[in-house]
Parts: sequence; structure tokens; C-alpha cells
Amino acid sequence: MLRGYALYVAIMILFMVSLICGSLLMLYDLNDKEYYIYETDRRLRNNVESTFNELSTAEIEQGVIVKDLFGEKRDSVEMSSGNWGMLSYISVKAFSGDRSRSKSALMGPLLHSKEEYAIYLANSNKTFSLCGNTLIKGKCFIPESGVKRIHIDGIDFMGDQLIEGDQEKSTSALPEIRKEFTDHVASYLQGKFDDKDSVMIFTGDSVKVLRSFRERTLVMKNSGPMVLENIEYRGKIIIQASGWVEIKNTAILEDIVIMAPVIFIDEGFKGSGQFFASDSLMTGNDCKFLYPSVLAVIGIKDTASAMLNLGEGSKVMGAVFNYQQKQAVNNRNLLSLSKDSEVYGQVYSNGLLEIKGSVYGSVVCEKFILRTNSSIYENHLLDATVDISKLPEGFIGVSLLKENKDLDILKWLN
Amino acid sequence: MAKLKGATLVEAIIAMVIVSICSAAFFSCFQLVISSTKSIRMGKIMEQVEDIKYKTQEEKDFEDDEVELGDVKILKTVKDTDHEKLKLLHIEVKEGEVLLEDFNYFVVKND
Repeated sequence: MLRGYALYVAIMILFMVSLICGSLLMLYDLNDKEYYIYETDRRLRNNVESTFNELSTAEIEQGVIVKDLFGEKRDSVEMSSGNWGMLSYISVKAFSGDRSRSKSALMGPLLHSKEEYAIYLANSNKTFSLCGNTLIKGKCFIPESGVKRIHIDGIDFMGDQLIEGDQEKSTSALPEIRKEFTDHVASYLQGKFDDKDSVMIFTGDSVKVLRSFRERTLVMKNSGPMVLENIEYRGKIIIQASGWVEIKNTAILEDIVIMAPVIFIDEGFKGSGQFFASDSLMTGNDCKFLYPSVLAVIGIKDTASAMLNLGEGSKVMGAVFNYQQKQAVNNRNLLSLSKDSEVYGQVYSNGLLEIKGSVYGSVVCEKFILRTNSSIYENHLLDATVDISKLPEGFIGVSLLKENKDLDILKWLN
Repeated sequence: MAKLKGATLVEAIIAMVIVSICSAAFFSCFQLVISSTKSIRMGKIMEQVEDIKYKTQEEKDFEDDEVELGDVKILKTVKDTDHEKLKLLHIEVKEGEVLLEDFNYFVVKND
């Protein structure tokens, strides 16, 4: 016998409709929440980008700052900044309720190839003399006695024009260096470190160390000489050594800072980082220092003559400088760029500078020096190239000089 | 031939009421979900807003502008700040006189 069961069927329908309605309501709620999260994240992302844009036009204050971004009391951001070698490190965190978004970057000054000068040679009443296949392209600040072609060891100047660009008189003082950066590096070279740093003794056991820039700086201290080989160090790491450091070409380095009295970098090394020595820094031939890299000697003692030598065929994307904090009368720090070496960016020496390779960027020095088999010449260049027009558009350098003000994002960090 | 036993009148009426309530609830829920496509519409509007932001930043278009998308208006204004190279981009999304969304963004004016 078949019955109608109208009520049972209706209850079944009720049950099924309840399930469908429940699913629809959940879908609605989910959609609403997703949209809220999407919108909040979009606003936070905009706030982070806006903060970086604002920072690129303002002086960066050190430390941690929380600010109301647009003065409307609804967009708050937290900024923390500090020095990372010769660069500025900025971390921005935008937050709203329990959601936040953060981004960190290395920042440096934007070098405008049209506005920057190719050479600033301090006025020392020694004529600037060019010889051989020398090419100088860009605006130059040169001594009052001017520039001339010269004949050395049977070689004459081969170009049509001595300087392809405007010439202006330089002063006896070099453009002022940003001491807040060099002093910061010098303090680490003297063995000091920041209270907030995580300090550990370098044992060489850690083959691979990756340190995020969101974490504290990891300072690896070592007393005595050390050799870095078959290791991979990346991120917010400072290696601080009181003896010499040798870096083999099997070492993989990225963004780290190495500080030691003497640094040797082996032939064929490839990597990025900032290498600071207080006494001397020598690189082997055919090294490639990827962007952004800094090779520097910061002389912290007034007695020693600091020496930096870039090996033959080596290439640096960033900056190379030799800065003696206190100049002794008879000591001259020397920065030497060997044959076929290339530097894209900035070169600075408040002592002597020898160029046998090419600089695609800006050169600032007290005196040029040319060493040949027969003699040593002051303010002479032979077979050298300084061409600022080949500096890539929008190139971000390092905060070396006070005149380098407009900061821009050099590299986004993890 | 099988006998079909009819339900009682009360049973049938209760069943009809239940089915009616079910239908009403289902259509209410359905309507609610359909209305959530507003967020999809806002998503599309915000895409347009992002496009305006991008053009201001990358193409250096610092002129005030107004874009209409059906009933919705997107109003773009660019204001000066204390720094000559920094501009404040303000965008408002309005439907009639109702403000749906507004936000600010700093733009760098590089030559």
C-alpha cells in the first residue's frame, strides 16, 4: 500500500533547503570577509608604498618611528631605519586592526648621469695631464692650471678632445663625505658593535647562514686571521675580524658586510656585499662584485697608509673608495684600479687614485697618480676611461657624499 | 491496483506551510548572495582606481580628473605637499552623494 507522506516529504524539503540556505549564507559571509581583507591589504600596501615615496624625498631619521601617514588618524605606519654599511636600511610596517603589511629595502642616493660630474680633482696647482688612449666624458671639476695632453714613454694622447664635457675649477677641498656612515663603519672596524646586535663567535661550523633583514643584525666576531671558503652567507650578517680575512672564490656572499684590518679576495670571486678594511684591501683578477657592492678602506689610524687594489679584469657595481680619517703629512692612501677593471658607480679617494681601467660613473680624488716602469707622475692619466654617460639611467649609488641626497630604493629585501 | 492512502487535510496544510517557509527562506538567502556581487562591482571600481594611481605615478599625470563608471564617479585630486617633489594623490569613489571609498597616496614627482 502506498501512502502520501506529505508531511515527511515537506520535512525532507525543509532539511535540504536548510542545507542549501546555510551554504549560501556561509558563501556570503566568506565573500564579505574576503573583500574586507582584500580592501584592507590594498590600503596597507598603498600606505607602505606611500611611506617609501615620502622617504625618498626626506631625510631619514634613525630609529623606530610610528606616524600618522596622512594626518587623518586612520593610516598608521611604523618605520625603522638604520645604516647597513654605506647604505640605508629601511623597514616600513603599515597596520590596521590585526592586519599588517611590511616591506624592507636598502636605499641609496639616485645618481643622475646628466647632473653628476665625471671627475672632481682637487685643486693642487698640478696640471691635469692626459696621455694615451684616455677617454673622459662628462662634466669635470679640475685644478685651476687646467688640463693638457702629454707625451709619456713614447705615447701621446690619442683622442680628439681632452674632456668631452664642461670644465669647471675645483677647490682644494673635496666634496664633503657623509661622516655618519663612515664613522659608523669605523666603529665596527674598531671592534665595537651596537647593543641591539646579536653577537656570536665565528667558528666556521655554519656552512649556510641566511639572516632576514627583519631580524637583528648577526655579528660574527673572530679574533685572528680567517679564511672564508665553501660557505653561503646571505642577509643581515656582519663578519667582524681583528685579523686578516681571506675570501676564497668558493664563498657565496650576498648583502653581507665584512670588516677587518686586511681583506684579500681571491681571483674569480663572484658575489655582492660590502667589504671594509682599515688597512688594506686587495682583490684578485677577474672578480665580479655584483650590485650593490662596496669595496672600501677606511683608515682609522693616522700613521698607516691605507691601500686598496682592484685586480685586473675585475668588475664592481656600486662603489669603491679609500678614505683616510686623519691624513698624516707623509702618508698617502692609495686606491688603484688595475688594467681592464671596471667600476660602475662611485670612486672616491681622499689620497691618491690610480686608474688603469674604466670608471662608468663619478670619480672624486685628491690626486691622480700614474706609475710607469720609469717614473711616477702626479695628476696624470694613461689609457684610462672615466665616462659618466654610460652610468645606467636611475642608478642608485651609496651614501658616500653629502651632496648625494635624493634617496631611492636600491633593493627590496626579504 | 495499489491503494493510495491520502494524507489528512491537517498534514497537507502543515506540509504546504513548511514548503512555503522553505521557499521564502531560500529566496531571501539567494537574494543576499546575489547582492554580494556589490563587492565584485567595487573590486572592478578599485581596479580602475589602481589604474589611475599607476598613471599618476608612472606617467606623471598630476592633473585633477573625474571618471564616471555608470552611477559611480571616481574623483582624482593632486595636492602639493611641503616637499616640491612629493605630491598627495587623493581619490574619492562616490555613488551620487554617498562616499563609497576614499584614500590618499604619496607620489614622487621626478623630472
